[in-house]
Amino acid sequence: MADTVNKDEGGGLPKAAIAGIVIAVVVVVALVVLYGRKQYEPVNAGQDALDFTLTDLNGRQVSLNNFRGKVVFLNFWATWCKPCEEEMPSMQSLYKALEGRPFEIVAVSVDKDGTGEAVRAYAKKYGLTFTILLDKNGAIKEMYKTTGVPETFIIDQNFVIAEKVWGPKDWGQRSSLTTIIDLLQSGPKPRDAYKPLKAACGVCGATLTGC
Amino acid sequence: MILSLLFFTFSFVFYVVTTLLYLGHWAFRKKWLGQTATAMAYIAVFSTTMILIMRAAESGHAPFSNLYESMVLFVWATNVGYLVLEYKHRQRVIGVFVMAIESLAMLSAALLPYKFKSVEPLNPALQNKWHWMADILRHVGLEKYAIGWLDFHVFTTFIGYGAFAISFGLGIMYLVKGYFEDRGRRNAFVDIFPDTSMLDELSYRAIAWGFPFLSTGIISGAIWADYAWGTYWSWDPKETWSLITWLIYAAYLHARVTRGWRGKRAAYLAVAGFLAVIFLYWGVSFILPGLHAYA
Amino acid sequence: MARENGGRSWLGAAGSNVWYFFNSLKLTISVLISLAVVSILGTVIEQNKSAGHYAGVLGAKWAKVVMLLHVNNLFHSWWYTALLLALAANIVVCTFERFPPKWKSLLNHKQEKFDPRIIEKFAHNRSVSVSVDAATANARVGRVFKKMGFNVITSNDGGDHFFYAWKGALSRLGSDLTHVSLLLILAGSIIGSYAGYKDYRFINVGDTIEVPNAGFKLRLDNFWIDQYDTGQVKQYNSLVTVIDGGKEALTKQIWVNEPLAYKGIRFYQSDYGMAWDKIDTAYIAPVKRKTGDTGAPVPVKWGTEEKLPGTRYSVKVTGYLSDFAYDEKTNSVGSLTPEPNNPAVRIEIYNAGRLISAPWIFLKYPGIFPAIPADQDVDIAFTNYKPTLYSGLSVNKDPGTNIVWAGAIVMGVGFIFAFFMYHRRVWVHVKETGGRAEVRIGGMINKNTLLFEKELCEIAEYVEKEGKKT
Repeated sequence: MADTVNKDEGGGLPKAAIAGIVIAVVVVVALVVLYGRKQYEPVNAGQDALDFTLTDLNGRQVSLNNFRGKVVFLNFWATWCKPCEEEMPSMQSLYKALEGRPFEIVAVSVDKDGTGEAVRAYAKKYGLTFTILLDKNGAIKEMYKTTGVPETFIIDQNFVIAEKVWGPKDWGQRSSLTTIIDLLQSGPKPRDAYKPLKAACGVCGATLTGC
Repeated sequence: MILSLLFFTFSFVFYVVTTLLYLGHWAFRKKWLGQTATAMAYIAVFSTTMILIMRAAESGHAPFSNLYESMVLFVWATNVGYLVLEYKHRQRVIGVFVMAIESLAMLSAALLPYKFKSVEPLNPALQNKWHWMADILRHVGLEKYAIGWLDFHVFTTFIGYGAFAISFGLGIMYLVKGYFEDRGRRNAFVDIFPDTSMLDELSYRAIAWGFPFLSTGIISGAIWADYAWGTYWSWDPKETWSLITWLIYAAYLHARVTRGWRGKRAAYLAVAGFLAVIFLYWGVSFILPGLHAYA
Repeated sequence: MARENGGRSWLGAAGSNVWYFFNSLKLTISVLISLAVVSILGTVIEQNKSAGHYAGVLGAKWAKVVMLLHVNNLFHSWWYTALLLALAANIVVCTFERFPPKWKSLLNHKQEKFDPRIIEKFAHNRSVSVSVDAATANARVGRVFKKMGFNVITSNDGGDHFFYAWKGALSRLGSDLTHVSLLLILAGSIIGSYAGYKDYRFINVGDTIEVPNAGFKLRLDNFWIDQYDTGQVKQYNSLVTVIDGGKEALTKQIWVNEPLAYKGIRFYQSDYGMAWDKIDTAYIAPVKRKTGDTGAPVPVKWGTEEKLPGTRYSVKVTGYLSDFAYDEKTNSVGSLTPEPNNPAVRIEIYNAGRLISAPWIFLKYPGIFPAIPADQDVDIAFTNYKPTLYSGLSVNKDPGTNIVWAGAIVMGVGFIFAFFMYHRRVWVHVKETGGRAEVRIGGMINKNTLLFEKELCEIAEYVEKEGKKT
């Protein structure tokens, strides 16, 4: 007969015992998972910046920590992304304009090509002099939970994210630079002063088209 | 905090634990392992349901809009189908195979880039709502949760895939058991399997659910495509692979009533069908280019 | 099958062979698997690409094979169509052969009296011996069948009582309905591919297009984009009006997933773009040539004349090109691409009502050619603009669509019959011997034997205990 329960089994337990085991498992899992609950928060303004180490265009290992204490402009981009291409020149101008000030631009390329050839050529073409790092397997972009390129994180002198920008901006316009200028002039703010905003348009590779 | 991601982690762990419990029950033949496994399977389906509910709350639309969400739906459908099967027939050894598939499915969803896990509003092409449903829900202010042909298509298709996952497990078991039965060999683990005629019957029952749901899924997908782009069928890789899957299962159904094609050959078709589903889901999105890149 | 030899022509014999070739389930499986395998090929090899593309991907030799065998457009190739038609023929012939006898047996299935010994011969059968009289047993049998929703006919022959019960006979029609539905879907798709068309049109706001092969016009009254508060696009919308025979017949708002249907033709919101030959408003500023100071820009709407403050001029925008290019050979200007790579406006410059200059001025190259050569002090610059959006509409006609949907409905009904209903037939024989009723129960089901076993168990138990738990 098809419906027989497996007969030659020993060791049944009363329902209460089973329930007990199950509840124990659920509680343990819940505690463990909730302990690491930080990873379920999106990376946005008010959160700590996350340190990482990547290779730059000269093959040297560079950590984000190296720039702690300065205002850091962390930008995720790719050579195939048109909006990134549009904002790069204004980023270079900004970098030049703030030369001598405690300000750094760290541009992380998510191009999958590990050799960095395309990135090098790009940097040469646009005369980019700021730090460019290669994230070819996308681990850092995952760490920062980016959903497309370009995305920019303005990090204050306490290594806290002051602003998150989705999509490109004209970094030559004063209106784009309020956070950076404010940080340079008045120093870092308390964490809750940084307001997380939601996503905006113009991001490559995001699941939406036709912004 | 994004609660849906939290519940995803819970569910992932629960599925792995459930798989291990079913495996332990198979290896050590202790009833309490089997009972605990079943209980954990119920916990897992509850937790998976919570992922979908949280997701809907977070995104403001039905939770079937991308690869990540639909994977969760698949895992949910397979789990529900398995629990019904276990309730009716109480053959816990089947649980080993089905829960292993569930754990692998959760793993593959976990490995998706963050882009798929983040909650984003729907682009224009994905917004298809049935007017009558939106009108009804408007009375309680929930019209944004009205669904349309697209959601119906995703839902029915994934119920189908869930059934096919179960028939895949049963097909594998059939081939293994058949191998031993043919040679008259005995094996402590395989002997516990239900006999081949029952495996065949159960596999058929699963496909008898999966096939109409897949067909409804393909047709409702065509209806949606007709609304969105004016063409109900454009031979893009995703549509074509769903047809390929359909053809394989149609062959299975006819094989079962054809001399020389019953039993083993039918089981091969059941296995091939689910492999087609896997390619349809992952291969088309990541290996082939196309309009249907299900991001 | 006995066949007459003498009077048969070879054509009749050949036709007969062809017929029986198609009357085969093995053929069905072969065709289904072949279609699957061939379709896989059609997804792995990119469709509708040039010979050069295939040469690049597969090498020259295989590229030739691909083009020769129409693998580049596989799903519309003659041999794919042949496979589909083979399936259709297979369905038609099998249905012709198998449906009539099935229908006949369904009409005549009832069995009033039967030999009780057949019950033991069924694969599924039960015997119960109950210490009640025949009348009670009969009553129980009748009740359990009613409870389970069976149709029953009874007859008696002295001490022998016969019951014949059945349920779900419609289930047997499921496969035939499904097969017919496939024929409908196939027919609908063939009609659609031959008698339908698909086109794409873009219309600027305010313009009217002539709908091909239709005899009416469509005018775009407005186009706008809805956004989420994050700025991401929520929906593209067009407000269109159908003009039929010079009169406005219908005005409707369409958006993606919400088309307009008129006289068998459907219009879908497909996408949109920025017009490359028109803009809504140009921002024009006066420039002091000596110092290069640019004054405040003035918005100038397309086709309207605006005064430039601080100068004696007024300007009118009469032309726009998004990617200005000058063709020396034809001495004409045009837009190289639809992208705003080199936006330029043609302006007419008036002084006190008199047209003095009509140059093109460039957004990216201010001052490259002085707009008013005669004026040494004042130049005109094009500093910004508001684009005109065009709406991209997909225009479709497909007369086969409704046939396909009809097929889909028939398929749905067929599936319900085939997969969620089962045809059971149960024979019961009751005979009283020595104060006990001997009840024999047996029967058949067309699928789901596990369920049938359960049902027989249920019937037997009810007859034995009448639902009471002992």
